[in-house]
Amino acid sequence: MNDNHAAVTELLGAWALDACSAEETATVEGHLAGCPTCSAEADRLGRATAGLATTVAVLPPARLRGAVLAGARAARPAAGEEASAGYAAWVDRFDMLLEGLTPAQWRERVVHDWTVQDLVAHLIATDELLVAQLGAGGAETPEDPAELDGTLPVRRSAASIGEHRGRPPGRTRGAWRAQADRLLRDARSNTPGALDRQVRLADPRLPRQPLRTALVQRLFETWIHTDDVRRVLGGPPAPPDERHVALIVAFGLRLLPAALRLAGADRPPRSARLLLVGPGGGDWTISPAVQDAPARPPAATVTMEAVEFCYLLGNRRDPVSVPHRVEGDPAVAATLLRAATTLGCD
Amino acid sequence: MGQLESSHPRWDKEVCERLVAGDEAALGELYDEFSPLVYGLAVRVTRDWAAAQDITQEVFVRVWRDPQAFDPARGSWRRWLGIMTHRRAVDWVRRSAARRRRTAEAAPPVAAPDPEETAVAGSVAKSVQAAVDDLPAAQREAIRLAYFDGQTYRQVAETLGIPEGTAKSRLWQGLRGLATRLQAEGIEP
Repeated sequence: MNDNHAAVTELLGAWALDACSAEETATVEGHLAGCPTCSAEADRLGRATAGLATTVAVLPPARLRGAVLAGARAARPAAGEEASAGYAAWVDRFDMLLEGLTPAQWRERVVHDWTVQDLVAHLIATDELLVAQLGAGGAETPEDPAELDGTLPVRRSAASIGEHRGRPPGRTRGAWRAQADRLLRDARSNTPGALDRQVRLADPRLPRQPLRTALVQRLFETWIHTDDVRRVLGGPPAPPDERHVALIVAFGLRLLPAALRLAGADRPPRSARLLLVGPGGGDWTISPAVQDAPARPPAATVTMEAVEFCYLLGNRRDPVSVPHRVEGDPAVAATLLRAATTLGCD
Repeated sequence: MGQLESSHPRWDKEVCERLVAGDEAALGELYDEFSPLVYGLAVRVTRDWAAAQDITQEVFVRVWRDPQAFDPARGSWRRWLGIMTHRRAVDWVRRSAARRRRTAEAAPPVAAPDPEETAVAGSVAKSVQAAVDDLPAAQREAIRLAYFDGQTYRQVAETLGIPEGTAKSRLWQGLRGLATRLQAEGIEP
């Protein structure tokens, strides 16, 4: 590691200015990874080059902005479009699965003590929480703040399940589908900024989120219930596709700090690194702190499959037995995994 | 913010998270904040408006495609965008120099200022400029050739008629001096 230390030290200034040959650049960068002294020096010099860049700033031509944003959209669709397309796809898949069920299968127990029909009635109730906020003109019904506690989704689900028991399952399916289509229509209506609108998620204690995030939650819940029903019928699991995993993971990461705070895990706030491997994965640091804590290394690193993390978010995996690896403080890791299981909808 | 003041770690992190979540408005905000930095640097190094626009587009599309390549713990957006822009601009300069050598074409005239363009100098830029002006002339000149003209240290040595080792150490000393002064003034670009 230190064999070329002297040579690299001499090159650092030129390297920081992109003034080395390609071979020298590779040598320097190879060395920096393993040499804290040189990488600290490189960081100091980087401060100076970043400063130099500011001295030549000029406004670009105004038309460039639109071209850049259009180029970006072509390279990766915005989350709103991706979320509504992904949600629409899972609505279709779930509907097709339900369409083929026999009356006996509709009565199979799925999760908790819910039958398939109860599960669909539950989904109607959680979807409805979002539909009600979008409705005609987006007028919001003022709600009794006392109602907006963590038990709201549970109470709404219980009411919906009670209402649908005894009805023909086809009617429950029809009611769910019609409402899901309405939700998609409202979300896709081309009002500018529609996807930025702040809405409540199923759990009203969580901070309000833009509609695009709420749509990812709908995608997420519809997927997990599709998977639930397939499992009960003895079919193969229906894991989400890579892009949907990425959306669900981003949803979970966005809400984990709030979930940790709700669980009282922010005293003292200790951050954890979440390394999700496989399709849709990535590398994140999660801190429950509201304010930016001074940069301290994460207290623990949790490594797991991104798709397993999706099941964990849906409370379909046990935070202890889900396949994962922990380095660092096991208590911080365990708290993070427990908090993740609270972000599902049932 | 951004152009006008030192960096804001909190804002940097939040924008990164929003980009990861696919929030297009975050890209617009990042563009509005830093396109003068990216475009201005690309114009200065390439001296070619079209190339600078291409580079600006490439840099922001790259950020949108892969926002996680930016690590807020390792520096500001300003710094990261500056690095990505400069590398691309320098590559462009070296590619077009190689092309000219092949075709024996004369070097292009230096571009005249675009009437549309307006310099944007915030407080960071002013402090940096003052610090650059205070550097010994030999260091300042070496840095100008390397950073703003995209020369390698070997070309810098040739241009200035000095040994390569001297060019390397002038670049290093100049940057070091700048970094120390910016740090002393509490400026975190």
